[in-house]
Amino acid sequence: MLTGDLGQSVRSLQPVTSVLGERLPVTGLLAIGATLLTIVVAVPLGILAAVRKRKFADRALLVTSALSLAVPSFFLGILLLIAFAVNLRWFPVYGYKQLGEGVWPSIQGIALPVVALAVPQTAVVARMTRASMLEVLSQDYVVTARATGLSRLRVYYRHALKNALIPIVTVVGLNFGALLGGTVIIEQVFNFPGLGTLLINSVNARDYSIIQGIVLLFGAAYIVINLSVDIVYAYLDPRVRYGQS
Amino acid sequence: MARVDIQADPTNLAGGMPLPDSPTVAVATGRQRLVAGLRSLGVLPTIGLVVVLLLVVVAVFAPLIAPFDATAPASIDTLAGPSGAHWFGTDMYGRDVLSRVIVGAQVSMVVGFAVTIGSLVIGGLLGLVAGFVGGLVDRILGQLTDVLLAVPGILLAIAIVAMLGSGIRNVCIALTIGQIPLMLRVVRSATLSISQRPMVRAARAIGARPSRVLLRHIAPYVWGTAVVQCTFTFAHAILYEAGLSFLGIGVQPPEPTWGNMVSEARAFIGSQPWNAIFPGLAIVVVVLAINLVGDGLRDLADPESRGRGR
Amino acid sequence: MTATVDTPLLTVEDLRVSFAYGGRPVEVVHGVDLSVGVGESVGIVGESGSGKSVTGRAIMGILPTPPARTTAKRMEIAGQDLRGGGVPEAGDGHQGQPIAMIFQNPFTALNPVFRVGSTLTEALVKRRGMSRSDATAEAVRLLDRVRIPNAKSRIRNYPHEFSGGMQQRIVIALALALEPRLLIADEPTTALDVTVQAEILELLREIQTERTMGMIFISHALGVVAEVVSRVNVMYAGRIVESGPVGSVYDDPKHPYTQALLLAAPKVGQFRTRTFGIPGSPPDPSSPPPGCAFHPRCALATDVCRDTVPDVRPRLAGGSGTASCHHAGESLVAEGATR
Ligand SMILES: Nc1ncnc2c1ncn2[C@@H]1O[C@H](COP(=O)(O)OP(=O)(O)O)[C@@H](O)[C@H]1O
Ligand SMILES: [Mg+2]
Repeated sequence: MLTGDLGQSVRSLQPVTSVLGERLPVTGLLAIGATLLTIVVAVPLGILAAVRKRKFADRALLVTSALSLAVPSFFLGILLLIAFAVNLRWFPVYGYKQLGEGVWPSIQGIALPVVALAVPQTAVVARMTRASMLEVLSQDYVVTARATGLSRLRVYYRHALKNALIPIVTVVGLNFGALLGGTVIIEQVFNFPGLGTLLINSVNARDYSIIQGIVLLFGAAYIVINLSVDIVYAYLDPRVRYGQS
Repeated sequence: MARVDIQADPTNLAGGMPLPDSPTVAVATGRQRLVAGLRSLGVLPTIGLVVVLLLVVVAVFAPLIAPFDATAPASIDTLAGPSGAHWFGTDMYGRDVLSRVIVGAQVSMVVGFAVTIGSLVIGGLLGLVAGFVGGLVDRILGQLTDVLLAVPGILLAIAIVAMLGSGIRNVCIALTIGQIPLMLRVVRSATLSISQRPMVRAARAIGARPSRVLLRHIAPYVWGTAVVQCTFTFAHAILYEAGLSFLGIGVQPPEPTWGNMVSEARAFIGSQPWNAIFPGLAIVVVVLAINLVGDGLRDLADPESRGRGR
Repeated sequence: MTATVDTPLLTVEDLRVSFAYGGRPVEVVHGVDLSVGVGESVGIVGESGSGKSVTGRAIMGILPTPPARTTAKRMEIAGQDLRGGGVPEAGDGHQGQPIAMIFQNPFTALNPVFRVGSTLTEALVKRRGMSRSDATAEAVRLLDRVRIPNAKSRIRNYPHEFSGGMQQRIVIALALALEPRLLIADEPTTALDVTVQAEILELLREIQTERTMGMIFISHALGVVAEVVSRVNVMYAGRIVESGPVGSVYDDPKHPYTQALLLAAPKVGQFRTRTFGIPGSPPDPSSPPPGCAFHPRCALATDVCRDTVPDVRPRLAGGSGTASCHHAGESLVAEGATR
């Protein structure tokens, strides 16, 4: 097991590693897409809420994030299907079929599952960004930057954000596990043949070597992501880079 | 899902400051105490509490409340939308969706309470011990916790159910195993920080029995933190049970659960979306209500506001 | 360091600042008058919480609005109105910034994630319109000026790689990068060791003379203020209660608060080694006492003090300076003690 040999699938008699390898790209695409979408949406939202503390944008974020943390991902996926695939017909019901048929159809095909995965992540990351920005905005060096006559935008996005990103990156890393868990359910909702679908099929077929392989793979992914978080830390915070001297 | 500690927003409290435990409260009547307690909890958390209590009542008396039989197929009128006779419509077998949602509350509540109690007892005790004893015991428990938390919660639950088999009991066991490490962590760190207090250190220094120190000086303070964590455990348990049932490896049809109802309705979202929407909304409402209670309790248990009362 | 009050650089009249968090606004600065001549160095002293920093930040235009609200009858630097809010721009095609400010805690004043060179060059590029390479050369020159050894290589270091005294020098260099005509120094040495304090004070004095730069020096320590300023303003509970040339205020304090401050501190010119403090504490700005704000702590207080706020009146007939006290000139020492 430690040598990377995970045994054979009892059902297909193929090596577990190759079965997992086939499915990995689909799940990876969903997870990476959702992570990117989360960051792109959540960080500006969190900054907006922090800068406009107690105003409408802030309240709205608090309410929507509380709501989106209460919606189970499979239900969110189905609501998205009902609204945007069945009724409005903006997106396909079977998005997977469109992958690889050009840039736009691919994006269209993957959009709904990625959004469904990203919503709860966005809630968590946006709240963290808000809290972290509020903390940073009260720091002395932000006052120094303002006293230097730098524009508000420059102070927020250059001076404050780089500091605020440190805890944000941690949350994104810690939540990557939850995101991977989310793919299992979202793949079922949207019929994507990734690792999650494989997992459920293997549970029903009692194909334990595959189940074990997937659990190990997700655990390893989680660990790798959190090691990369440490590397990003070092980039963001020079005090970490040189050790506490 | 990991939760972020956001700064307590005083505007959320609406009811104002948490009350210190002053003598006036201590001698107040039960009803006054309840009112005072709810006022210090705030408006939204109180609404959440009422919703949760209502659901418990609904779950307990489900067979009496449900207007129709939740499991027996009724061939007429399948996949109908909401109407006067069937408020939530009917499903593909013609069964009343409202009745099924009501009965489905039973599974959610049973799983919620079982998992919460299980992880509170096991995780709470282990956390107390880890934080109080420290050393090797703490390190071993810490590493076990890390390993369990490296695997996404739903995946862990799926893997355990795959080994044990489906059904409500095994779902509870699987989810409890997944929630124990979270409870353990929270209780451990609360125990650790309270053990550093001069009062506790003094009690240990003068040779009070460890069990006495743990019960008299530490447990009462850890309790608040544990209760807050319990609300999150409860919400997680309901979400995960629904997820497992949706995936077809939790509680099996025909016994209705909100998760397997959404799953069965999935095939008909083109013709009858309400079949999926009502059970899904039920989950949203409960989880939101519990989270509101949890946020309210957390604001109350915040050591800063508690410190003011002493 | 010598006064040239007849060519005022900064004029502040009736500066008021209040904070509002949802409810009723709380005024913490109640009508401060202040003037600084070209190249003059003026002090503001007072206990913690008396409104010194708020005054400095209001002039600098960096109070967060809301919750803060600033009003003034006049507030201008070299004829330029400062009441619009925000950090003042250099007027008439000049580069830089008319006012710069340095703060109490050098350990937190510099952004920890940027190299000090980058912080300096950013200011030079954005506020002085320099090219990147010119800015780098100028940054090295500025660090040299504030006596950072090996400025050329140190420019690539992060703030945490410098000592507190060095970090305060860098903050001073950052302020100088803006070529200010007025420097507001808010307790710049309070967080530092005594020996380092002396070096920073010396540096500030040198720079001020060499650039004919005006300075407002804020401190709670009378001794430190006396080292660098020619005129001093004593602040209590959001008001300037006494002002005048540093020598005459210290030798012959007219306001009981000034007297108490001087009694509570060691002799002028020495650094404080022990804190004595004045009995009691400053009023809470949200519920100030009626009349003179100092009366609850004042041994000379009489009925008039309890219900009438004293006017600003000259310290001495014909002399410069003011004192706001119904009993100005009566001696606290003669009464025996402070309460
Ligand atoms: N951002 C703020 N919000 C509310 N009150 C403030 C704020 N900043 C300062 N104050 C209040 O203004 C008064 C003067 O503070 P400050 O100017 O910092 O005193 P100091 O003389 O010690 O520098 C204090 O009572 C303080 O509580
Ligand atoms: Mg101050």
